[in-house]
Amino acid sequence: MYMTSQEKSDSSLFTVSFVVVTLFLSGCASTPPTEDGVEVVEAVEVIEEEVVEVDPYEGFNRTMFDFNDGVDTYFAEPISDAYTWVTPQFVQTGVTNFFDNLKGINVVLNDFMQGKGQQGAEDTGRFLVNSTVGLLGLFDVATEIGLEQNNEDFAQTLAVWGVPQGPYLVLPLLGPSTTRGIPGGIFDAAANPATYIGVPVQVVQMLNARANADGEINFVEEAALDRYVFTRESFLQYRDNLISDGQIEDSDALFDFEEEDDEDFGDEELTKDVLDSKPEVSENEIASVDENKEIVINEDKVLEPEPVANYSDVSLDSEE
Amino acid sequence: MAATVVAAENDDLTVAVEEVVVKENSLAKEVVTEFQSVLIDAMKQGKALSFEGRCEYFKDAILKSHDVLKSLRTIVGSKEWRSFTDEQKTQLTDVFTQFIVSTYAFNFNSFSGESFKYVSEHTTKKGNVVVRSVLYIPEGKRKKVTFDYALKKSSEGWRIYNIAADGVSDLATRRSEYRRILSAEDGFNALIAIINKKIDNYAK
Repeated sequence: MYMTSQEKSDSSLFTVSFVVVTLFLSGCASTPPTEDGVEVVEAVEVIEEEVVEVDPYEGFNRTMFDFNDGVDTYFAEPISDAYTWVTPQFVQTGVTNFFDNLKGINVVLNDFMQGKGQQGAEDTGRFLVNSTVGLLGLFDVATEIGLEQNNEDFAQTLAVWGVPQGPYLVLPLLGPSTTRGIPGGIFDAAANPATYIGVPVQVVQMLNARANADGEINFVEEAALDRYVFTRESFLQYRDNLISDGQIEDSDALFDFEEEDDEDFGDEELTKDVLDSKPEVSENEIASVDENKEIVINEDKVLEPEPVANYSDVSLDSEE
Repeated sequence: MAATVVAAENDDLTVAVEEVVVKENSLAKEVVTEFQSVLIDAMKQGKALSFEGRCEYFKDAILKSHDVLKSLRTIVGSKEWRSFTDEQKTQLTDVFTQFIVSTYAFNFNSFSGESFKYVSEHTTKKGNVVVRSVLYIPEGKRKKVTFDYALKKSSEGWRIYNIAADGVSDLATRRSEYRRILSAEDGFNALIAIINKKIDNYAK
């Protein structure tokens, strides 16, 4: 049943979202929706100005990033690999569950501080079930009965309270954060019993966290063209998503680029030449679109049937 | 929402519009679920397909469901894009497409009970559609990942334009990366070289 580390890295996408990982610990930082409004025009210079706003200490951050990277390569990763090697999977799962359960206290506190009463009640139930029936949290019984784990921390609470994100920071050993993440991390550590149990416990916690992050770290390694930028962008977006609890109604931002309304790339004819091996659209898809008039709905209350887009008239092979 | 506003003026039209919206959404959803079933299929075939075999398999599926060129132009930015020669545009599009294909071929290579489940969909103010689904990973450290597929309508129907995993937008992340690289001296060639290196790593 146990996978070799090679196999593990092969299936890394499945342990992964494009989520970024701090080198040792799960993150302790956050971001609000970009309050700087991001007046994106399109020139690269403007992009650079934005980056300066989010990441004014890039020089320092890159140094820390490289430092953490070195620590990971020479210490954390080998030790974590050894840990993964000698520890049966069910033990690793138990260890993860145990620390997740202790974090549950924190989750409950932050639920209530964010005014999420019902979620707070559920998370309390989750903590009680796992601490008792789940044998001090070693077994995640609560998930089985429908009380899923929520991710709340004090940095998110601060964001909900309106504390601005502040600049992006890469902390030594702790990894990506923001200025708001620092008080967040301190509060969370103070509220977590694991902090007080003793150093060996914390070492196990860190090892286990590093081992769990292995897939993600490999994924970044493989997919990123610029690991520093990739890590920063994914981290900040991931934190934003946690703060807003990932509502689909907020997903309009996925289209939120200046090119949205700018179809003038001056190369429409290139489209088909380049993607010459493009397969045909399936027949039934065309047929089902065929009868509909395309109606544009937009916020300006304009509701006029567009000139009928009759897809059967459009040659699929070319747009000319 | 626009449909509600119109309701006062013309009930029938509203109904018709809502029907169209529903139908359009289901078409968008179909594009996503079809693509996901290709992913699951490829995983199930696993190592029986070679890396190259999976590349072929994914290339067809991606070109059929994604608007790769539109995504790429967003990543690069229209001003930068217009500054490229036709050869450069073609070269970058080829390399970028190959990179996306390789990434899928490399990562979706074995099956251990993963499944996609459709959750909900959302029509944006501008009439684009976001289809939300969850990837369940029973054997993974992370048991589930929420994928939001952002689709725009092209002349060929709904096409995936952007994908977010647990809120991390693929286009936004790539934009920052690519533009950083392009802003350096000889950025275009550097970008091509870096992507090619990534592709080679996947193919190893």
